[in-house]
Amino acid sequence: MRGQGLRIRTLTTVDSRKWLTVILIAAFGWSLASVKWDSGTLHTGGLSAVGEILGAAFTPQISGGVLKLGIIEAWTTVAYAVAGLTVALVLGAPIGVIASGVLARRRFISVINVGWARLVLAFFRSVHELVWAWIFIVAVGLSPMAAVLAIGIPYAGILGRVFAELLQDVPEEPLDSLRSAGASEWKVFLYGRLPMAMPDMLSYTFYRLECGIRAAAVMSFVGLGGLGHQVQLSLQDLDYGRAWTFLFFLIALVALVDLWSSMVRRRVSA
Amino acid sequence: MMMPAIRLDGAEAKFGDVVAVVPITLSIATGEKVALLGPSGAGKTTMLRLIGGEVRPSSGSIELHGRMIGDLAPGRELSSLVGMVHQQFDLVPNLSALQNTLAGNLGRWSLGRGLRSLVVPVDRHMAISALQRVGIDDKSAQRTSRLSGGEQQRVAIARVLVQDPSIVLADEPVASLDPARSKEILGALTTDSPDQQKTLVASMHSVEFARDHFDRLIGLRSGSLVFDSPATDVTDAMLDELYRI
Ligand SMILES: Nc1ncnc2c1ncn2[C@@H]1O[C@H](COP(=O)(O)OP(=O)(O)OP(=O)(O)O)[C@@H](O)[C@H]1O
Ligand SMILES: [Mg+2]
Repeated sequence: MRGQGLRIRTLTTVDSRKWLTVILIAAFGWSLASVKWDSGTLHTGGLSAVGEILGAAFTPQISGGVLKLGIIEAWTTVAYAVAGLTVALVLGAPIGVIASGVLARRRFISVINVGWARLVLAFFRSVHELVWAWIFIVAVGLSPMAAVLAIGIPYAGILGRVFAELLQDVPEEPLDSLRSAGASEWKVFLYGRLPMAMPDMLSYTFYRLECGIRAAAVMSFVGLGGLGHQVQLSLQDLDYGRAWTFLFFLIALVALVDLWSSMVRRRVSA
Repeated sequence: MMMPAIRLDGAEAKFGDVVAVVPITLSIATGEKVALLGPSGAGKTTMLRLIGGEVRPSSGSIELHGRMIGDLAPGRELSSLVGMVHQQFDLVPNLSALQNTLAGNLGRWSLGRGLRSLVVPVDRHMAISALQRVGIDDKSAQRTSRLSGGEQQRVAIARVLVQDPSIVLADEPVASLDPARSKEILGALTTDSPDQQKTLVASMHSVEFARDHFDRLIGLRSGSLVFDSPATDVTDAMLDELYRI
């Protein structure tokens, strides 16, 4: 009797899983088919403009004035990104720890805390940084504060969620062995979870800093200053060489962050 | 009779339908050095985990120094009574050997002290002297993941030396060590300081070392007791029977 019940249950779960796969694949195919690939997304003459823009990559403007402006604007962009990421860490890390549920001792309280923390994180990241930018520009005007918060809040949602998962996914055995040495859950967190999750948390944070630099550059299209603003001005003047100079600054920034991140990771990783 | 350090009363361990340890009743006196012998899968680890409170008995009970194990508060109280060296060491790979050793203090440290010690190690001399006893104080600053298996095993032992519980459980504590080092470590684990008698239960795969260093040998096979005798009374025939394929 019991064996039969078991077989029926496994059959239905296998079946429903198969159905879910079919539905997901169908949805995927449908979404591809819904894009109107051939209806006038390229306008005539577009191709030659693209050629001109790409060609300008080999002749960036490197006059002293442009370089100086590039450095200043690069600094603004980095400052937005770093400040935004700081906000994201200060906000996202603690909420992420709560959302991971690893510190809670009593089941009931844990469920409630994990619930609201996840909800807050989901809300933060479900709105794109540009939308947050518009909201904050309306609220505080065209100020750096708007850019920093616009990056900080959605990134807090993303970092918090990823941190929560990384903190849950560390191997259990070293944690059990700390518990048997008398460690409370907080101490297990400090001596086990955090050190074991740290390399991944760090490298993800650095990856987000890269994204933050790109976001800060885009932010400046909205009028908040920085490299993106200069790229936009140059493009409006059809001065592609100059636009490339600023794009190269952006590429250099991302490369630098990458270098920094790999140096830090090498020090921390196991 | 004196109260035993460990008392199993019909203690049984089950994982789902698998019975890992069939109901066992026995007592171990304070200061006794007991080796668990038996083939792979016999239930040695499970029995140690029962005594250490890591596995709940599915029936029967376990007392440590006269107190039911379920009544002992996890944390300071339980960890001052019993500590365990795990078969797979189970250290935190990206902490230094020193920090992993100092973690033996977590039962008595406040949270603030624990936090502070991650920045500037607290009670450093304690950990260093424990690492000295197992012969790797020169590696104290090394990241634990970079240590060899035998070195990690010794860090795990150093941690329990720092924890300093009255009952030490050790799961194959010298499995990754060479004979000379094994002797030294077993010596360190089984030698009592004059003022304090430590109870030791260790699972061992080396019968020779078990005979040389322990007072009493317990043979387990398929979760049941095959023999439980003073080390000097265990014959080769008994051992052959225990390990028979
Ligand atoms: N967590 C668990 N879940 C399910 N089964 C388990 C678990 N732990 C142990 N067992 C089973 O219990 C039995 C005894 O295992 P145990 O680890 O105690 O053996 P052992 O004597 O320590 O073996 P070894 O010498 O190989 O370490 C084995 O059959 C094992 O498969
Ligand atoms: Mg084992």
